[in-house]
Amino acid sequence: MNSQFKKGIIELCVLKELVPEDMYGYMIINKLSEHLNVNDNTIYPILRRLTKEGYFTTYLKESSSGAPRKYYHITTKGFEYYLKLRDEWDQFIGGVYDILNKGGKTNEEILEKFRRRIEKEEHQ
Amino acid sequence: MKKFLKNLEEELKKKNINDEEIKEILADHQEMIESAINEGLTDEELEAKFGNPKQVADELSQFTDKQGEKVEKGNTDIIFNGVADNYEIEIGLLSEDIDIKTHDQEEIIIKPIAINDIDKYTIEFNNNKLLIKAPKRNGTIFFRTRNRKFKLYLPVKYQISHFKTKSINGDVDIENIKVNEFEIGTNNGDLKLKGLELSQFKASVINGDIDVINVTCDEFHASMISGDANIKNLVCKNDIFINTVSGDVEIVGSSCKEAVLKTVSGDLDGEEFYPEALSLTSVSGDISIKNKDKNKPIEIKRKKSVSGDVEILIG
Repeated sequence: MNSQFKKGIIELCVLKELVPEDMYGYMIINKLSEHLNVNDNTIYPILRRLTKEGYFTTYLKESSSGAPRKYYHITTKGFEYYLKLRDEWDQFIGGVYDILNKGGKTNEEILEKFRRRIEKEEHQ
Repeated sequence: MKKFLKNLEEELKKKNINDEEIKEILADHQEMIESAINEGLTDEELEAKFGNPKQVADELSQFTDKQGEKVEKGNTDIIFNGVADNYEIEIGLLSEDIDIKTHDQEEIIIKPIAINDIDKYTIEFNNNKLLIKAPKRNGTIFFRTRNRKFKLYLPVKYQISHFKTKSINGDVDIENIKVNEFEIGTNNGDLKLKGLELSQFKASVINGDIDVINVTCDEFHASMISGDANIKNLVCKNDIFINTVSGDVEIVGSSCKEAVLKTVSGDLDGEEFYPEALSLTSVSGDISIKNKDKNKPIEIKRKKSVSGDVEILIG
């Protein structure tokens, strides 16, 4: 997948994870890697950039193991940015599905149509 | 995992990222790796979670501050053609400094320095009007990188009809421009205005100082809260109005019709300052002027003060 494109989607996911609660870096990596093939390489630079741009603020909080951890907190500006990205994503993915679902929603339906088309061509 | 941190440090240094940032990035990773180890991840799992230090450094270097001079080179010039007489300028910035000079060329050149998010700014020239605006920042966090600055070079041959600049913390330096209506304001920044030809002059600061050197104008308005004003060689055809709370005013080698000072505790000190008339409204602020020319009398038109005095020494 185009890496710029992938970055944008992961950015959207990072923002979403932080909407309900503040999290520390490793926690965010963990949560996202449950669903996506991502690691520190992709997520940390996004956290840092979005913080620089004012979408997140950070603060330190003691952990149960003692060492303080840096927590990321989404700002109002960050939330607005999330809504904007989410909108763009919905529109885009909606358009993609419109294309993919033309002529049937399941692979079987599409395969059946394709088979008929090939047969028709062979008869001519 | 010590190796990961060491490699990461090397990669970040290769990218010429500045020491402060490297320190922070390493601390963040140390913390994240410790969290992972606390959860009992195996070395293999750790490697998968943290991946390749070079990749992190590559990503980070795209938006992270670099050592020394590289920051200065980070931005490219923005050039506008098609400037005509009586064009307008409107600038609204936050903590960026502004430097304005003239040049012999026909175009406006804007050099952003160390502005790493330049694409977030509005910078345009439309209908003979130049507009520079900072992006809206979230109130709670505010990244002030060192030495963020806009340098502007304006064509010397074209008159500016209206010049308006507002800034929060940035300093503003302006030299040798010709403007009809000139309006400038800053909260904490200092203003240095040199060699200006204006008709209307309006400046306001809160804590910043105002320096005015070699300026000619028809009317002069300055207002400060606690900032001081230093005025040298000001030729004002009509009146000078200065409002201040606690800021002091020094005027040297200047002239005008009437000088009107409204102040709480700020004083006005003049030397070779020849207004035709003086008005003082103050609580405790004084006016004191030392002049040599006996043929230029100063009329004290109005003095309304609790404890402030007007003193004019000639000779």
